[in-house]
Amino acid sequence: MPKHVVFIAGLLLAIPVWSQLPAGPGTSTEKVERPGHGYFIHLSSSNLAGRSSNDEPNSLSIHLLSAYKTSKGLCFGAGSGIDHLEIPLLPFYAYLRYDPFKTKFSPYVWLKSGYAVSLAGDDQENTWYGSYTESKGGLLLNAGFGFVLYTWPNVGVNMGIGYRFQKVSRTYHEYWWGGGEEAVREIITEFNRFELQIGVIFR
Amino acid sequence: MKNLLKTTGFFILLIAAMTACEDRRYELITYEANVPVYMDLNVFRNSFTKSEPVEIKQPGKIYFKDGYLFVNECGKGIHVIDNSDPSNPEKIAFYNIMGNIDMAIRGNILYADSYIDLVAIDISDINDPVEIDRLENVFPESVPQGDSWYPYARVDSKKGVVVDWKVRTVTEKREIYEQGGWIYINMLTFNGTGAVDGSWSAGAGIAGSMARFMLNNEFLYLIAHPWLLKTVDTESGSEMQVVDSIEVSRDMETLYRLGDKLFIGTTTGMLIYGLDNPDKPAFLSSYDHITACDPVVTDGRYAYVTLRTGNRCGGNQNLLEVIDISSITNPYLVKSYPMYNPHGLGIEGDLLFICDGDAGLKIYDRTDPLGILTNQLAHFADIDTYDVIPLEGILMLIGEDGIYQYDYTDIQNIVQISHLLIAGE
Repeated sequence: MPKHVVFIAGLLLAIPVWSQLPAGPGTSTEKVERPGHGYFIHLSSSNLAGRSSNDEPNSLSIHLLSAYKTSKGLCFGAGSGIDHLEIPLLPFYAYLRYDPFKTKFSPYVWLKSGYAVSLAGDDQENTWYGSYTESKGGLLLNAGFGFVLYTWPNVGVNMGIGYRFQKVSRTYHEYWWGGGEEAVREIITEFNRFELQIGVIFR
Repeated sequence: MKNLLKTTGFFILLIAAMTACEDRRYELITYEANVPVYMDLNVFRNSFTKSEPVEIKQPGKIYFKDGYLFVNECGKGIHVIDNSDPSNPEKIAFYNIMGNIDMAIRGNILYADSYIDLVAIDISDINDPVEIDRLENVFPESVPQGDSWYPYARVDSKKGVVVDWKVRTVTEKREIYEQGGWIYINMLTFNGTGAVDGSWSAGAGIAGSMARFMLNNEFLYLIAHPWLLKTVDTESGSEMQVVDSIEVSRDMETLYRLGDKLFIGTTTGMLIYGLDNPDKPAFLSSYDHITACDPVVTDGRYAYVTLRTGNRCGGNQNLLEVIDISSITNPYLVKSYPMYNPHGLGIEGDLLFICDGDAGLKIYDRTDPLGILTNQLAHFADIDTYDVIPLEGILMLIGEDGIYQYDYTDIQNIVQISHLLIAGE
């Protein structure tokens, strides 16, 4: 597993553990009580793994989302973050989660769908055949399941596994020796990745 | 122990899941190209007809048989010319054979290519030809010539036979590194030849300096693709079948047979195959030369090869090469002669006829292979020549502005006896 994933996992696990430490002499630990509905923020980091032809079998993804949970356990929200799948990406997505339990250990399933914008600038290359490159993001789909462990009334740590689909493309403009027009060559990659997610939830 | 097994199982599943997902990459290529125009296969395979004589516009290979001269109209069909009187050749019919370039005649059966197929036509009655057999997909990559300024889009043979190209913008979806499409030229065999490429042929039933078809009794050898030589058994006139295919690691262009030897002109040399088993040509030897188009003719002792510039074969020299093949497994160069832009050639007796492009027709005494240029007998400089058939004192020559015939029975007094103009001349 890449070092950055281990580092972020350690950091995220440390937050709820630290949050449970006694505040000082004479302070008692409060009983965890979970409200049935309300807003929450979810910060997560994921390792996206899969077989790849571009020598990047593992990629990092950091997402931050804000959502509202109804009393029935359905969560609606939206989020963004930073992904790196061949090129750096800024994703925007809608978030749907079903989290039916009100227990300290709470399993759930989630769905994300949106579009990721490329953060890579155009790569101008002045070659003899006049090639230059443009990068473009594309559709994002993500689904999975996991759990939240509420170690503090308003803070929980989560882990999850899922599937991530992301489409990106790189477009090369080339000049064929014959003909008058340039040739446009769009190389499209559809990333199919297994997602291992850890994160922290603030309510 | 149970927990350990569960944990181990979980991690195995996790690792399996992490490697189960695989990225997919493909390309969308948008470019201006020659895009194929298809014809339905059923329509194409029922398209052979005979019509009244038409104008000769773009003559290709020529073939002589029993007083008739057959002249290919590039990609369209075959003009039938009654040449019983060479001083007065008369067009009598036109055979509409789509995509036709080559031909050969055995007995009363005309064998002709038609884009991807080989057709057998019974010409017992020259005015009532009947298609009696068709060998499908013998030339699977054969297509007409497009606009050479543009690349070629991918061909989908399921859509039919390619009968034309249109230049327009096309978007192709393909796997990364997939063959075909996007500068697709390497996989194609162009059967349309213009004056620039000059794939002109001669042939008198047996030999032609630029023929791609060559008969050996019931066996028809044909260059199905620049690197694929096929042998077709034509014994049963109505049931042709491919009996042998040989992959050759060179670009083949022309075939010439002498006795039990098959001489193959390639862009990089001459190959010699033995025909002891006529259904299975066997490699004997090769002679390498510079990269160029190279028709070849031979008398069994010497082979004569012309090499020229200004064509798709590449090359930068214009030469006549004389090769000693008396030891068939060890051919060697006797002498090279500079030429202007030599195309087809022919031999009869001690005479060597060379079509030297714009420089016209040159006739040499080839008795001394070391002194051919100094033994020039005649030079007709005012014609643009492509190929010749010398036959029993009559020279049939095809050039840019028509079909010329010369009487050379008196070598000191070679005279032009006819000139059949092509359209627009």
